[in-house]
Amino acid sequence: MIKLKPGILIAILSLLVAGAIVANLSFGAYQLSLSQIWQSLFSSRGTDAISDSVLLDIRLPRIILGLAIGIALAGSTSLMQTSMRNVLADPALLGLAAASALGVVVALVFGFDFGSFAAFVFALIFTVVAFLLLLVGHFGGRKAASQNTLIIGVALGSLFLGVLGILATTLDNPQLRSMALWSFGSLSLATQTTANVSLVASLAGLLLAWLLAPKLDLLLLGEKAASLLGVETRKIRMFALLLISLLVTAAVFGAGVIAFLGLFSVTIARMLVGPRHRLLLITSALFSVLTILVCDLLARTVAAPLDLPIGFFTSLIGAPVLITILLRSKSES
Amino acid sequence: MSHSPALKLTNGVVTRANRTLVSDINIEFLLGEINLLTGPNGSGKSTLLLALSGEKFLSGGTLELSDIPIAQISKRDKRKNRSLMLQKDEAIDQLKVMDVLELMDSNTQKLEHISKFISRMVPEEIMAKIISELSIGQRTRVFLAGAAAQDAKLMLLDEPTAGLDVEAISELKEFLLEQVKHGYSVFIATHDEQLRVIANKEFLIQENKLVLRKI
Repeated sequence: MIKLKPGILIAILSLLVAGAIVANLSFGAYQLSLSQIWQSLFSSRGTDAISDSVLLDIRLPRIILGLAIGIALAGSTSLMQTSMRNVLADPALLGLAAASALGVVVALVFGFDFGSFAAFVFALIFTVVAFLLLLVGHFGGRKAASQNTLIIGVALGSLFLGVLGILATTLDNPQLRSMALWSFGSLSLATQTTANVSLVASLAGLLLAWLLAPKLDLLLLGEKAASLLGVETRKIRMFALLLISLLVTAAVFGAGVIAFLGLFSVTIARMLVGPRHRLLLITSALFSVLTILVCDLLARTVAAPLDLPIGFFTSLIGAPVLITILLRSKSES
Repeated sequence: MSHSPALKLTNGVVTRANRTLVSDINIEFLLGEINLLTGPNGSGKSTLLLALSGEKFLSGGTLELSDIPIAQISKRDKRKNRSLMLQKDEAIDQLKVMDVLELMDSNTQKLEHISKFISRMVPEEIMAKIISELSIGQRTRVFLAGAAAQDAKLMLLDEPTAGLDVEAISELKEFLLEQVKHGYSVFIATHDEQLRVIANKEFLIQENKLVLRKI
């Protein structure tokens, strides 16, 4: 693995993210030149109605949502891995994202709108409950706790997605119909409102995670050591649980279940900058945002004008990475 | 030299997985003392050591640190009261040596012999290494340095000589003697007879009781 100074790595990633943002503004079913983008963004509206509309109503919200989701998934995954002491923990893998998505769908069944505050609250509650179920398995079982957790999480996730699928396909509700595709992870339903809500929630989550980071670092020393060094481990875990749920909801609320992205970016970031949380949070968020922007560009352009779920592409990248990690950790032990 | 107890346990009972390992424990560790707990592998030394830290396994009795019942000690003061050696752990394995030392550090001015011990245990060239890359002996050195960096009045050390070379063991002995000279208290669980020479008292676990071994 190439060793870069963290500062240089973060600078490079930031530049790549900036480049990906420009590419996402420019490419798509309707091509926009840099000068058109510049005009639409920074001079008053009205010069070119079509490019304004494509840019400000479609592409910009998608990019903002992409940023939000990237931050939220990377942040929630780092926090999950530390608080559950398992480097395979990931909100999509362990069913939390599915729970959140089910929450949104149930809100729609009750007549609330997609993107409404009620949908956010439903998603958050479903996520917290799913997390508590997961922890019963994690701390309730005896040995091989992390294996149990993985199995329980995967089982819960498929259960939630099953219920979601039935609700989305059988009930006669046009909004619910589009949820089936959304549940695979897609930025296509991005509106300015959902994008902004997701971004605010994920930035708030990231800020709180940043403040929590020194305590989380101590948790890396082990449960007893952390406690001895003055960390109230139970309180920190409960706080982390709420924070993770907030971040997962922020991601799912706008874009459904995007598989593997968290695991993918956190694993790579940890290999490059180590497990200290502040550095890990920033680096993994940048990796995750970069991946999501590249994947969304692919999702929009590969079969244009068809808009494929971004989850397809993150899975294409994420799955091989997961397999590599498993093989690596097996060969080490 | 001060002689108030760094740790006092009255009528202590140590239980693990619903099995009583040691009962009727009445001990007092004074500041300025090195106390040893010896016995073969699996006799419950580490469990007793952890119980004395107040973190786990203590199911009965009153534990006081510097005359204050453990329940009344604030989280902030806990880290000044006692230090433990870290244990092998998946999460620790990913940290760099310098991370471990930084996280354990009390961030206070340290006595000269403590700083010297830390730098002797952890030479500059392994600072940037990841814990999983270390040998058993190097790992012990890092965990000892970590406990020293925490700079607590009572050091609880579990098998502090595991994997150490002769030179490191003699440096450890020298450091511990220096510690007690400066009013610290040390309690060591070990099967290593080499440390007996520096101990003030030696305990053994015999038929579920903690007994004093005649020296």
